[in-house]
Amino acid sequence: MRQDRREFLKALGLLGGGLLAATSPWLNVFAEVKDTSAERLRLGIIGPGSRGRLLMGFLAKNPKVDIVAIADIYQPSIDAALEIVPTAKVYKNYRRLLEDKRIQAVLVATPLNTHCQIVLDAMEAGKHVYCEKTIGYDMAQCKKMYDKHLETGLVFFTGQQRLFDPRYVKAMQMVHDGVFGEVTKVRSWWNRNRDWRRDVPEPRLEKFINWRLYKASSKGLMTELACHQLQVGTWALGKLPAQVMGHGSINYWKDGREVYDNISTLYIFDDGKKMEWGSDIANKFYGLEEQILGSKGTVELERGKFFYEEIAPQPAFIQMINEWQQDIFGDTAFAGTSWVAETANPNRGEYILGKKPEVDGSSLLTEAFVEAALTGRQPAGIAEEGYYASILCLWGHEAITRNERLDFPKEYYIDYDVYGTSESQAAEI
Amino acid sequence: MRDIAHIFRAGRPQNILYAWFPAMHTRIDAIFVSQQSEDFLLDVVGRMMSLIRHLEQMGDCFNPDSELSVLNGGRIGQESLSRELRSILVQCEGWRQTTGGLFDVTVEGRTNLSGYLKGYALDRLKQLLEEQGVKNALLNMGNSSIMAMGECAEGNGWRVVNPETGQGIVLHDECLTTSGNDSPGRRHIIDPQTRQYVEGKSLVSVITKGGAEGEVRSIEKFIKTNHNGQKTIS
Repeated sequence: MRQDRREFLKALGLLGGGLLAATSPWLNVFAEVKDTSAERLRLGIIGPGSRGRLLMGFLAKNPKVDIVAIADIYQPSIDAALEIVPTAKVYKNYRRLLEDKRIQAVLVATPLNTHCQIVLDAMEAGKHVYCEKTIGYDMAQCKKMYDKHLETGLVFFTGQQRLFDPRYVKAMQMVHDGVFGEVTKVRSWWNRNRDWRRDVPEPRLEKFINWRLYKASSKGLMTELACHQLQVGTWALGKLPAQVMGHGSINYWKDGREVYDNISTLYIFDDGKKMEWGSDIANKFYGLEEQILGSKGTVELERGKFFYEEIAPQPAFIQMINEWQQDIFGDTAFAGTSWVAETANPNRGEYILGKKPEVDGSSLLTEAFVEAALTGRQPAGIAEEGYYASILCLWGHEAITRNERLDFPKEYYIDYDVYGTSESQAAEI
Repeated sequence: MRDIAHIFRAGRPQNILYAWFPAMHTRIDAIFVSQQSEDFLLDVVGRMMSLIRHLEQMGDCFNPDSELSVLNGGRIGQESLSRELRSILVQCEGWRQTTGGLFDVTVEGRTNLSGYLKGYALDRLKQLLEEQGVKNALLNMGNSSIMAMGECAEGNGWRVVNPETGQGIVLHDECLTTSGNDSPGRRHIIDPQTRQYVEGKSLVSVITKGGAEGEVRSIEKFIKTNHNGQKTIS
């Protein structure tokens, strides 16, 4: 479902921009410092597979976008993409697409092991880049890609849609305001009960189509699922973990796959606070969730709810103070009856946005990318959050494969005030 | 003080502090617009909480150890009461006479200050804030008694809305008090004329200068409008 940008900003009390500078600085991409309403971004799609086509669906509806070309080597993906953009030029080799001077930006949604070279080539060719997560196959690749972004000054987005999901943005503001007290743990998981396989028309295409299941092209659940949820943890706690440990195994889907179907990881911060992440794809009962556990309350982000330990703030009051900061005068809704002794009620929690979540941030993430590419302005923090989210997954994967508790690899520090890291710290090693 | 549940936003041009805490079997939500620091404003909230605890200990008829419960149980006489509780009871008797008996805290056969104590608390809290130099504040006691002081961050009083009717109103140094039954099955106000609970969904809101007066006038009006089967929402 597509969400209107204005509605999104309104829901967050963000019209006018600037309010969430500390919590979600990348939202300033919508500050509208330059009128782009008459402009159109000429975009190429590299890898219009299932995820690529989902994003194409949003982009094709954006009046500021012309999807002028697609590149893929798998004909069924090309055919499906042409149903969305029938006039797009088709390339079998992404390098030919990059030679197309009309194209200003590319979206990369290919298998993990191919991201790095494509992104480096794209930036070398002067294209702004949106790359699906995890961005690199290993940490060194991630650093190369990030450094290329700095070197070229081109816009670099990664597929971390939660950064633009209203419920996440709002919840993080409340977390950083201290509404839930001191956050001591972030617990997240992503469980499914299916084999994670795609249909293969002929056996020789097995590793090509089911690339997520093989070590040469993927690191499995860590790189495909953990990336989103680990970023939520560092977003909430405002820093990077110091250590990680974990374990992975293949317990149920013994079908020739090489990546784990059952993973548990534990990320430990310098003060002992913890971030747990796990995935089991042989049981879906608890599904998908990210929990932020604070001394005064709990946030369940996927459900879009928070639960106060004792007495929760009133959403109408929170809305009122948020709106004041945007110079929007809002009503405060409350009225009731005289008090009597109340019986205890079960804690059913409150919706973060006052209602059940309806959208994730995918459409707004693509819209933000278009805005940034048109203006040439890289939003603060967006590349850095994506970079570190990828590093966290790959570092965790390394701890699992080495079966060791690992310290954060400081050689992969980048300059990012939010997490208090800098390249100079890396150089001190 | 840092343990007080609150949100603080530093000035533009004034600071905003929103704090909330349980009080009188419901809750108080307080928002201040002030140039004072977060620590100072939290200290004010702490004083508010202490005042509320004092009033609960004195006048909460649901607490068997409160001074009022001791009175209701016949364990002490009026002559032994604290000056403040005695003063409140005198005020209530005055309101009973003023309203022709429609407001009567003894209608249940015991003294139940309930809403009146809540309104009285808002008056005391307002006085406390004025003494502390907090001029702009909104105090919401369980959504049914809302005391507005000075201006909100945007100026021009404080605007509140009834979520059920969508009706909005701007309060200027006034108190909005609502009494009644917010659902068809709820009943808790006794009509002294019939000695029966007033039944049916009906809410009455009044605007007064003070919280205690608001409680009296809203009860009075609620009973008047619902007497003889009339059911109106105003």
